[in-house]
Amino acid sequence: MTYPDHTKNIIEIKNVSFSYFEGTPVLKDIDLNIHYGDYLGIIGPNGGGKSTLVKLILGILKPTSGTINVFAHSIGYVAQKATDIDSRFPVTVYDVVSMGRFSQKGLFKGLNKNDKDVINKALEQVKMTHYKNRLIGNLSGGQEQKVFIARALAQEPQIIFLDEPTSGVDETSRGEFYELLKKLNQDLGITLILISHDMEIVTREVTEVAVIDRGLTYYHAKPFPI
Amino acid sequence: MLNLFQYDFIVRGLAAGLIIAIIAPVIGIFLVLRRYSLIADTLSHVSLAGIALGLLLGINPLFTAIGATTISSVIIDKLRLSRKVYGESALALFLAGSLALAVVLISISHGFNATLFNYLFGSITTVTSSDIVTVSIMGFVVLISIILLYKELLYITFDEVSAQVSGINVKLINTIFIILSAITISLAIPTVGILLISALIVIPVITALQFKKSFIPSILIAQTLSIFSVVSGVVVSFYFNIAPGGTIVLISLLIFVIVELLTT
Repeated sequence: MTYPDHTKNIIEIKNVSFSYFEGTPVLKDIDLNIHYGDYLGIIGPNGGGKSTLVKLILGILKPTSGTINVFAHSIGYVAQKATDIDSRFPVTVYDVVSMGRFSQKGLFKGLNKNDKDVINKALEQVKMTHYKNRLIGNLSGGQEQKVFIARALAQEPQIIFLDEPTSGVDETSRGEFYELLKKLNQDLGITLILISHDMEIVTREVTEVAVIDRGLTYYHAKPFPI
Repeated sequence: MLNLFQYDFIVRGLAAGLIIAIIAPVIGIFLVLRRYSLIADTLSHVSLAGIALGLLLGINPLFTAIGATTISSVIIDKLRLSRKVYGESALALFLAGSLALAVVLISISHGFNATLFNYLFGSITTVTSSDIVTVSIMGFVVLISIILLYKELLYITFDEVSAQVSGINVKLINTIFIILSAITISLAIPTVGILLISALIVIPVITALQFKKSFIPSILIAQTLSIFSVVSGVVVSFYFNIAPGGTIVLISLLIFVIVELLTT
């Protein structure tokens, strides 16, 4: 593989402000460049605008002012465990991972041999091949999150966003989960953006950190001064 | 049994019922899993207004019902997404509004009470030959559309945000789906009647989900249960001279209870 050029920007955020209602900005004048191959941790207090910033980058929300450029054709997203996902939903692990291929196929087209190879490889990468015919609801929290990583990988993404991915995941699985992320970043060169309120995890795992509290209040690359 | 099939209206009623039994669970599973089952109820009330309009103007009520539900479904979804009102409030507005409109339209043109009763509670005798053609064609359109959009619908239903982030046109797919739901609901009117449509769309799916299988097997189970309910409902209602719509829904509820007892 070719190693990512860490000097080139993959996401450029210029002077971005956002407010849900007029007069109360959730985010104000954010400037932030994220580079190819970065493992960026975004931390900050609850209500400080971390998740809002991510929604802006992902295009779910539109900035009130400023511009955001994302130079990637495929973005993976792993949400907080237990949010939005119904564990009684009747799908298998394989079904969930195959969703990662859907948007690239376009409407009316089924998955072909190549897609199936990508899906199986993604399952392999997160070591969940043995579980592929299980229903998603019959997994532990840690296993479930690995499946969502596999779904993101099936998209063959340049960037993966992870929003509090290990809240509600037990300690052992948590270590394994962050090992996996490190591999994706170092071996595959995927840019990772980890949103967390857990300072300890963030400072241990990531290579760059940004603190968001309405504005960008702090940005530093490793090694972090304590 | 020979007796039964001598009657053309029974054959027509069964044919329409079978088509509904096949497409209703396909729409229903997405509605149930999105916690949107109640839209089926709302749209069935809207279809009453459509039917009243059709009877008043002398147009085939099935067409006016399809028109009314399609337009309303799109507006309901727009209202829900605009966040000006809560999702359920949009449903409540349309449920009340369309019922009021239907009552007013009915009172303007006195005298179609018997026909209207059939539409409210379902009667296989209301299924005409031209209805069979409409139900077949539209049913086919609904089924093919769902098959073609299956992967997008599955992703959106499971995880709307990730689907959107991955680049799927969630808005477009949602609009198409809600229109397909509206059409299905209108098509089911002659067989089970306005007041019981949502039951046929939702109950077999809820029962099938108790088996804890993956998506396609769940749909197939729901269709099997639904076909069984419709056929046995029509046969039972014929021999006992009772309302088919109610019989079909009671049988599907009975199956739910049995499955629930067996799986716990």
